[in-house]
Amino acid sequence: MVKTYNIAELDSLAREIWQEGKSFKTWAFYAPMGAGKTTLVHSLCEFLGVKETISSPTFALINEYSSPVAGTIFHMDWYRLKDEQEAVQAGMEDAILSNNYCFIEWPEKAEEILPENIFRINIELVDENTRRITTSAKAFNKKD
Amino acid sequence: MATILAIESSCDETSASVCVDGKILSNHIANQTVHEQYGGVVPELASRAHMQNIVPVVDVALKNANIDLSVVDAIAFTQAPGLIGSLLVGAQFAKSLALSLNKPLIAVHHMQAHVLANLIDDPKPEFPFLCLTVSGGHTQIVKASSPNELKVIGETIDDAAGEAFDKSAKLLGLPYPGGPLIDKYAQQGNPTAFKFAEPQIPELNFSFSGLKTSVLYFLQAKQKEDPEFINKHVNDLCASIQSTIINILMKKVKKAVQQTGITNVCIAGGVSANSGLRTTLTEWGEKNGWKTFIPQFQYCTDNAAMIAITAYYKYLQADFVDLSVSPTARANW
Repeated sequence: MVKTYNIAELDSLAREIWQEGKSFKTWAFYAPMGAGKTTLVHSLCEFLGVKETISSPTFALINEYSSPVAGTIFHMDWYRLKDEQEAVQAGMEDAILSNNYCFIEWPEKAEEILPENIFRINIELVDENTRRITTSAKAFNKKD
Repeated sequence: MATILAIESSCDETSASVCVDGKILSNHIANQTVHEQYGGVVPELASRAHMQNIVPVVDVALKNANIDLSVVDAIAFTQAPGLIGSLLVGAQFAKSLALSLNKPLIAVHHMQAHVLANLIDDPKPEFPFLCLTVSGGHTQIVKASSPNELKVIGETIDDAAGEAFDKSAKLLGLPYPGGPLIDKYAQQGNPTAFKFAEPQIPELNFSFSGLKTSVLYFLQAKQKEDPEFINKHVNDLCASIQSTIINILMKKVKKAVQQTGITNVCIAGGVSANSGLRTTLTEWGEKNGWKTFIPQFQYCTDNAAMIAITAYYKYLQADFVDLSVSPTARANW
């Protein structure tokens, strides 16, 4: 899917990307700072009926939510992690291997621990209120 | 007499405090400077440092209070929220100590403790009071009806206020930790020089992600015209960003006062060290007829004294936990 959207369209976008990506447990959100990763995850989790506070996990590294639709959701933010080793030590791999839904912001910080099959989401900035989302549901090509 | 030894290890500071009948006798904090080179707290480094620090920190806290371990009546620790590896070190130490001394154990919620830090020194707020708790990971408005009745009535739906400071600083190219630097440069700048977006979020909740985007776009546009824009205007930029963050916070505090009718207003958490926020709270208090309270700086950032004072009120209610208690990274109140 490639789609241009603004903030008012987030709710319908959340529904669409859920339909497209729900067969994948690990979702990787690639985007520069300020593009709206947390905001998109927020809309997605609201759509999935999460009742807990959905907020940025930059500080906590990992937030856990429960959804009547998706079960346990781990909302992770690897912004502050340096590399794969730190991600493993911080329990990120455990969360991925738990086979629960994992929504990961800043996955580029530790790509090596991502599983083979991920739902990849790219957000690009178009202008202050507009973003372009590109999703690809395919195997992640690991670096050799 | 109730003598409480409290331990705080939720993030990157190992701290211990001794409190006797609600009076803080010591509050010793070991900072982990190792994180600066990484641009943030690294969980594994943090828990290792806690392990190295915890015994000496507790020793110093007892010594500074001139209290022997044998007269301690209860052991308190931070149970949640925080980095799990860090919390585990404090919890395990506290449990072991409680077991060996055969004393009751008190589990404290870190965010409740931030609020009750306002009860450490005189003048203390009378109940009920409102507290704006602002830190790197949290932004909340809490209604405190008694020491044991605290309710979150507003919180952030995305970034925390401290995160807004740190990430804005990152966009400005300032080194970590950026929050205190923004405060420093802001003091030389004009807070109305530039205008950034303020969110329209219902009720008493906060949002800071829109501000981040607004700053990002503004800087991109200006730097196209002049690559030196940030360097030339860093003071005004910092002052304008800081003033926007403070406005977002204070407008919701004002709304909370209007909704609850409570006019005792406190602040807490690491960001309450921000000089602009402290001044603005005092000014708005004078203008609107609120009584305002700001804890000493050492009780604003993470510290064990706030755990001790919270534990004291729990001790009075005999609110103890058994040794099966575990820390959790996130917890409801």
